[in-house]
Amino acid sequence: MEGKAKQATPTETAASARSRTKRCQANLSEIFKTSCSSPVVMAHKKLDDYTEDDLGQDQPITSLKILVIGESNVGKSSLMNRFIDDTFDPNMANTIGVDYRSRVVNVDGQTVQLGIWDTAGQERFRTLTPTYYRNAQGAVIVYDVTRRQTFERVEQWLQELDAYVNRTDVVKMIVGNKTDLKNREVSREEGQQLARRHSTLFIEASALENDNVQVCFEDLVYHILQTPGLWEARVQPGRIQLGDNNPSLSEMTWNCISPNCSLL
Amino acid sequence: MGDEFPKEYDVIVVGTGMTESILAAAASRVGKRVLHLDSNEYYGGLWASFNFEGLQQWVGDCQKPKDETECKADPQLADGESAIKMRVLNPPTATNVKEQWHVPEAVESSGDDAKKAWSQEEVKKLYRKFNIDLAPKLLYSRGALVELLISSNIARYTEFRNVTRVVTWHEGKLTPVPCSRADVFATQNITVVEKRMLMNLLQECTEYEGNPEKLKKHENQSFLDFLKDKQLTDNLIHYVLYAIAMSTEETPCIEGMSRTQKFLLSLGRYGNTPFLWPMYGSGEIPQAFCRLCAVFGGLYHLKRGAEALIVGSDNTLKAIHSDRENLKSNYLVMGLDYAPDSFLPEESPGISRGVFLIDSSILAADKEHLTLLEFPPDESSGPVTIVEVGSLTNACPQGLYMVHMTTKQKGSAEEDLMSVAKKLMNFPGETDESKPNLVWSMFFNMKDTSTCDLGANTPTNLFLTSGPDLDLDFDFAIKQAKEIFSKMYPEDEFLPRAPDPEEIILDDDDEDKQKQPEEKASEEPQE
Repeated sequence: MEGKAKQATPTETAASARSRTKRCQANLSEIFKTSCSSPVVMAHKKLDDYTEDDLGQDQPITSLKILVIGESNVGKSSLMNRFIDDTFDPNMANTIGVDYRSRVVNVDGQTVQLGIWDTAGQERFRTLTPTYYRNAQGAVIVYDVTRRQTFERVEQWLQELDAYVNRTDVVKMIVGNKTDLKNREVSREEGQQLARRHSTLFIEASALENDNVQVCFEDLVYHILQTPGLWEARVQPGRIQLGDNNPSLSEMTWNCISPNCSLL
Repeated sequence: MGDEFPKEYDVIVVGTGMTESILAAAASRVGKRVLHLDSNEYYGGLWASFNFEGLQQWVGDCQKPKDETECKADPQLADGESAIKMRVLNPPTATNVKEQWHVPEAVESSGDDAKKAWSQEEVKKLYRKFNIDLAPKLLYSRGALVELLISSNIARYTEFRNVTRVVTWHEGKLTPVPCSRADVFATQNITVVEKRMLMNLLQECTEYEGNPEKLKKHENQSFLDFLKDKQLTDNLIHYVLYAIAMSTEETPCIEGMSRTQKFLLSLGRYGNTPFLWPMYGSGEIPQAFCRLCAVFGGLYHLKRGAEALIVGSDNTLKAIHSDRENLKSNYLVMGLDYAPDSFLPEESPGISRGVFLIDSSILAADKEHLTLLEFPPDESSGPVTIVEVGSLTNACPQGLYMVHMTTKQKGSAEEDLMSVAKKLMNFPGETDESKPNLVWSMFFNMKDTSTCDLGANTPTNLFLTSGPDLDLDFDFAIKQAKEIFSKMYPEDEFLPRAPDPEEIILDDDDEDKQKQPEEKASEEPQE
């Protein structure tokens, strides 16, 4: 496990990822507009502006949408922030305006652009929109090992996930978070059993101590990459994401018709 | 992330329909404290899209008798305040709902039939493959919603497909209408002379505003007379009047020109027709706005509505009573379907809707099309807007097509739409091989309050929002949302661009960012 983790991020650090992110802001935003429709085209577009030096690694082969779900206050955003920029804020309030966070990772020699989607607090009264689930390739279902009730809700989250994701092979990872706390109510074995019963991955982690957080996401990505058909550039012609970057089909418009334009 | 439920808001929004959701997003986006409620367990209200099972529940709800019982709420009132109690049961405001199967419950698989014979059982088994719209709507590629989704950066939550053909009903059959230059060029339905006429006419329509002199001449003319003056052939007049301008014989010339222009200006941005259809149905659009509202701190609670409205002596709303709590708010936005009868306009026109599941396209082709058909008015029905969607939009399973019909209500939806439906598909017993066979159908009526004054009977800081209107696009909902927003927050910008996550620099994590690779590696867990 350790070897894999190290290999996974030889040059990738939170700091470098972050500074790169800043440099390529506009670029990345463009990418995400088109991320769902055709990953490969997107990767090209976006990476045209990167140089090998910028990246210190290969160009992403694909872009993945990862959901983080589970009951309120189980540490979903903490896991995400720890993974993205290696921070932890014990008094974290809901982060206003943050929709998803992204990071480029290298897993098993493959470079991948991850978009990790927060619930934006909509999990609180189980009001996540079906739209949130669309086109996800992976999901992290989090519970708090010190609150049994959050563990008991994991099955309902799995059901909701199955109801809304539009493919059956989405890779799921159940995460027991807050292992740093003493008053544990859910044992590791119980977590493992639940995961086995639902054929999902399982890990216990601590966002506070940065324990198993990287591994959690990297393992998930590893399994997504191992699932044929889940992430490859499946061309889905005809799907349109709106943006100003769409090629102008000027030959179809009326703009260039003039009396001099003898077409007929 | 506290667990307590806040008791005070800037705006409470009840209902997650289109206008309500846009307003919730707009208020939240500029920092207002928003609570967004819906007593249903789904998003969208009268704008929702359902899978087949969800639709069955909706139909069941609609058929429940209207329960006028008031809520038992007993809110605490201050001096001068009074409570307007809400209905206990708030069934969807659809009427004349009629759902019907046209295939047997089960069929033995014969295997030798070229065409699959569908059964109720099979359709039900595939219930999750459906997204059935209560309010099917298209977007003009350069229309208000497309521009708003892009400018507000909400576009990332949505995906669309282009309508691939515009079709009309002419001389007793369906014909594709050439609408792009390439189409006009390629079509064999019109002669070369007609092509030139059509080109010239369309060109004139795109430029009509620049010619005020010319415009004057047509001021009192109908668009039909204008087209006749141009000495167009009947063929062309039909295409332009019904399919491109989506007009009738009575439409004034200027309106016809402006509709034609709207059509032409949206051509070519995303494809060779001007229209986009939301993947997974129109119900996705309000959800996208709700997501933005939540991302900016809006609080969401489904299966929760208001049991009473607390109004002060000055006819302003003070709070709503919801789940035994008084929740204060400066403004209340409320979907029409929630409003107490005393708030509603006495009379409002209606919409007739039909949804048909058929086993092949209404106009067979070698690939799956997304079709728009403006069915011209005739002696038995007004103009009917018809959209046919297939499995590529996730509207229905492969091998089936979903046809949505919308028209102005005269009688019941069934009466208003049956004659057109009969022309396009085989009902049980009919065996015209050029037509698709009907598998399942549903009719219902809805109110169209887009032309009513919804502010007439309400407290001054309560805004009622309309349900779906008759128009093809979402423009009315956007217009209404903007109007209400500017009344609430005249100083604030309406849905300024939301930053991309990469543009947001979180503070107080600067020192953490300085970690070196070695440190990081040493922190990697050992298992």
